[in-house]
Amino acid sequence: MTALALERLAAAGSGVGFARVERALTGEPAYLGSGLDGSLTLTVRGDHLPTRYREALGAFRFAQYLRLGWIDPHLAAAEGRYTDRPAHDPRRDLHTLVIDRADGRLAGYVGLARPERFGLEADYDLRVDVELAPQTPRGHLWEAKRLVRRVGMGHGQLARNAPWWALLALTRTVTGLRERGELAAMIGDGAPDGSPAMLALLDYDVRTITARPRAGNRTGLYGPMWRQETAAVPFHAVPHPRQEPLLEDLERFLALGRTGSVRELLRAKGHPHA
Amino acid sequence: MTISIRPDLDDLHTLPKAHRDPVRLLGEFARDRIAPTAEARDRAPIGTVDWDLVTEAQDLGGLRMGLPEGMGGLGLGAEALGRVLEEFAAADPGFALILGATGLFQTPLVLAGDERLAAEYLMPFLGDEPLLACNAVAEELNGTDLVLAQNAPYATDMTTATERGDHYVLSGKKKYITNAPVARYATVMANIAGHPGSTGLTCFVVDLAWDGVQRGATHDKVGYRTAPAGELVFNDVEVPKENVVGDVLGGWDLNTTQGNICRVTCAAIATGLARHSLERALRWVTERRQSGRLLFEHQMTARKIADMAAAVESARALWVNAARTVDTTLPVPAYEPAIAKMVADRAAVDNANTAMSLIGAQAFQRDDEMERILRDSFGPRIYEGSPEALAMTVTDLLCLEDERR
Repeated sequence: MTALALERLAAAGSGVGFARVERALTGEPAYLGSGLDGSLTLTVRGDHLPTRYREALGAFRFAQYLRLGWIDPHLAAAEGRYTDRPAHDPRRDLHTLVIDRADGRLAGYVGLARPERFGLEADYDLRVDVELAPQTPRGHLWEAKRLVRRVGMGHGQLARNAPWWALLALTRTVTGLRERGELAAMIGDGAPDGSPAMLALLDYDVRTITARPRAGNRTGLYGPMWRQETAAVPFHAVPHPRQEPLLEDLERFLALGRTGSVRELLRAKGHPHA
Repeated sequence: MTISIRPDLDDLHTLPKAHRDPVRLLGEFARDRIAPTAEARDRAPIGTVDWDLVTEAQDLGGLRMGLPEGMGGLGLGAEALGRVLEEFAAADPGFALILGATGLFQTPLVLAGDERLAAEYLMPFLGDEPLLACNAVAEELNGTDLVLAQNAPYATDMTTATERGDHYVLSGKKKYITNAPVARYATVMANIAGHPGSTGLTCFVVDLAWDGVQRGATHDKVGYRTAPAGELVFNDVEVPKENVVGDVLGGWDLNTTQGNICRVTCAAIATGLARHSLERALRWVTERRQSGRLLFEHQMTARKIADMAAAVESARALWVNAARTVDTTLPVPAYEPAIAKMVADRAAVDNANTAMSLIGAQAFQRDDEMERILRDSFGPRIYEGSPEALAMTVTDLLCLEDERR
């Protein structure tokens, strides 16, 4: 595949509009928020999203990973795979969409799933209920995946805010699941200064472990991601009881379109990890 | 009990369960939202598109009717699609064409099953932004020579695709292309350089924002004015080789298959037009009195109404039969769709003519909807095979059958 063809594909996946998705939902969103930065953020269960939006999410995820250089385009072409669609039942998925209301395109995304087989177990030589979360029933573990901002967004408030909206919505959702007794912990993986650090900033109790990625990762479709210098690490994250004031501060900051950075905000408010 | 000439949208039991709600919703949209505003669109400046209503249609799935369900489309088969387009045609056939022409762009990609082309060019239709597309086949000098494969050697000055490295360079002009003035993408049938006539026909996906693509004149059509149509000019447009749909030189296979499928929906559109004339005529003959009686009580009028009704019912029966055959037979048959379109196209014109004669001076007024129906009734015969081309198809098939006997 030529570079131009790659970019056209990525542009197609990044350009699908979600302007009226809220009206098409067949169930209540787990989170709904909007901001003066022109964003609408919602978290919704996979089967409450019409198929076309789920397919578009798969294309969006694929497009961002393609643009980040984390997907092998030749393998994608050889296998005819142009989507990053979850393989499990949509009822097990919660999708967080950060939508730019100006044009309906996604500015950010994160997924949360309770699959039968965790991505961590497919990617690493580990069992989550042994090495990462012993004494936690598997059914109470949820896996966060694919925290991405639309690659190539111009500088601006929404570009800065999109990952934080995604994490805020994710956290509100996680808290809700915990309160209903459906979640004990969130697991996932990321670069140490990436999602584990961002979650710590949001007052999650975060624990990372060292685990060996499976040998085949480096030559598979996501090979380029696995061949990066900074290795991702599996993490286990639990919301801290004192998290609520921080979340309120963050939500206010994002909703009111304040200038400055989230870290500065949290530092100014005296949050310990900022 | 009064019989209704309109199909009952609550009784779609012949359709797969998953298709009934979308068909009903689109049909109701056509009746409730498209029909009342058709006159305004007909009188709008040429090239005007009612994007608000296109967006509403998009929300109901109107621009992804033929895309597979697994992909997020409605996955409608020929019968379900025909039901929808008959309703749109009875309301405003130009609007039916806007949706249909976009579907014609999508059909070759769906038929070819190319995952990468689908990811790039079909994915955008899943979103909320209304996106129109077109299928660019016809040319100034080539109409039926691009409909009947046996005419391929006689096509003249075809749009040409010349191989150059990892591209094909497209040069030529397409004419009478529905949605051309506003489409984002086109499937373009071009002839590979060096092959006579259109014998080297190949289908390409072209992004109409690419360098070298020019929108030519927008046509000031007699009818179907809701649907903008015009020219597309290709001035040495570089099209990547990976944008060939199906096989190089495979254009006739795609064109023929798509044509056979499309004739069914074209027949449904023509049936919708024939029905609209009858509906207009029924309103007239059940209200107007002459010699002390309602018009329909006069024998000559009754005969005309009966003939119109028979034309609608037979056209519908034929396109539904053709649709069911297309939905259940491979390769896609040619005979039933051609017969259905021939009959329905005739029904559209004949019913408009008869309605004009029944309604008389009132129908001869510009502000009576019959004026628009009359103009629109001549549309179905133009696209996807004229009556003459269809007759050639039917007769060839019948004579081949005779020879085998």
